[in-house]
Amino acid sequence: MKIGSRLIPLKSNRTYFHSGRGAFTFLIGVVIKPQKVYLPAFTCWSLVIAMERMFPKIELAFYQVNRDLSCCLPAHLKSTEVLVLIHYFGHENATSLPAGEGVIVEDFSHSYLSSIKPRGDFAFGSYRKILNVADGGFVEGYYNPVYDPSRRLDSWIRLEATDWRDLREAENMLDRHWDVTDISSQSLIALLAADPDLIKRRRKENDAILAANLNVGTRHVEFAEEECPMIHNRLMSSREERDSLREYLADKSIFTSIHWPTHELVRKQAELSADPVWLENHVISFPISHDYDHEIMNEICAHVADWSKQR
Amino acid sequence: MPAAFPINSDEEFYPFLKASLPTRWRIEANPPTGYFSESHFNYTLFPPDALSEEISGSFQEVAPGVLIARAQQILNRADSSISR
Repeated sequence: MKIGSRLIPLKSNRTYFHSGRGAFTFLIGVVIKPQKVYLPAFTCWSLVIAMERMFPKIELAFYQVNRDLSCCLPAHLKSTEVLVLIHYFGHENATSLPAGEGVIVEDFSHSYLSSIKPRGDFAFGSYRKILNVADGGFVEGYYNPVYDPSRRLDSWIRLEATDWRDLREAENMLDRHWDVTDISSQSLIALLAADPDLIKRRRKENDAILAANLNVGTRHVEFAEEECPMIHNRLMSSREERDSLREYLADKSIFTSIHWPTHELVRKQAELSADPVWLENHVISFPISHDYDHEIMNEICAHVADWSKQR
Repeated sequence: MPAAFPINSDEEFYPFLKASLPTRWRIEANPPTGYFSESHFNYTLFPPDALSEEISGSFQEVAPGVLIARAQQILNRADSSISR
């Protein structure tokens, strides 16, 4: 060793990005460089649009996801092929992996607090789904990306926001950008300072309250002890019923969401789209963020019960 | 009043004016709520002592530079209204 000229030691087993999509784009475009990518038919559009816009020359295919979130993966994967496996909503996706030399990329955006042992070759995720941060994504493992420059004005709007409109505007601004940029210092310090055990405990408690007290629909996902739920999904008997409940709750200032609308590329494939479209028409996603207390969860349950009585 | 930062693209219209307009002026975003509707914009400008103005459209359809010019025009107008 030469005294006074040492190399900088590597300090992290994660590489940070501005968004989960940026992390995914880095993996596909810089690290793996495949010829074909399989995405689940039930997915956030972010991954689909990333493939369409950033990698139009890479073949894109979808695999079937059933309404219980079990997956029908291709039996064999070639070395030039990537398959993206999503651990939905905080729950481990335990589907048997394909044989062959292909590359498995796991999406931990919903599940990075869920003590799930990775089985694939690469793992990535977004921090914004669980943590209240303005931006942030990661790739598991140490890389040294050359980031694109960014003024992070979407993060600026998010941090300036005083109501949902600016949050949405920031989200739209983020969705218009496809560069591979770094995480903001504000978000990095927030996620490094976060208490994962506390977040996990509160989210599990909130999920349990909704599971025990919501008197409509059926629970979509059962979480194991070591899993941290991202949201509480319920399956309603019809789209009309679901939309009516969403509207009622919105009037009470309770925002629910739909995970997810079905992308048009999936819709074009009838054999793949049946269950994702069914989920799109029946699911309602309740927030269970760790900064909501039991009182807020009970308030949600009370409003749902009121809606139910009025039906 | 100098701009908070230079505006480099049409997409920076809203944060540029939000950060740069003087106190009595205000701009609000009214983003569409559809899933992945990011190409559409809808902003309302509230000048003091004047009717509000709506600025809306699609980033995919607006001619490059149009919103940059509009933002600078609005900021100049706000500047001159202060100095009057």
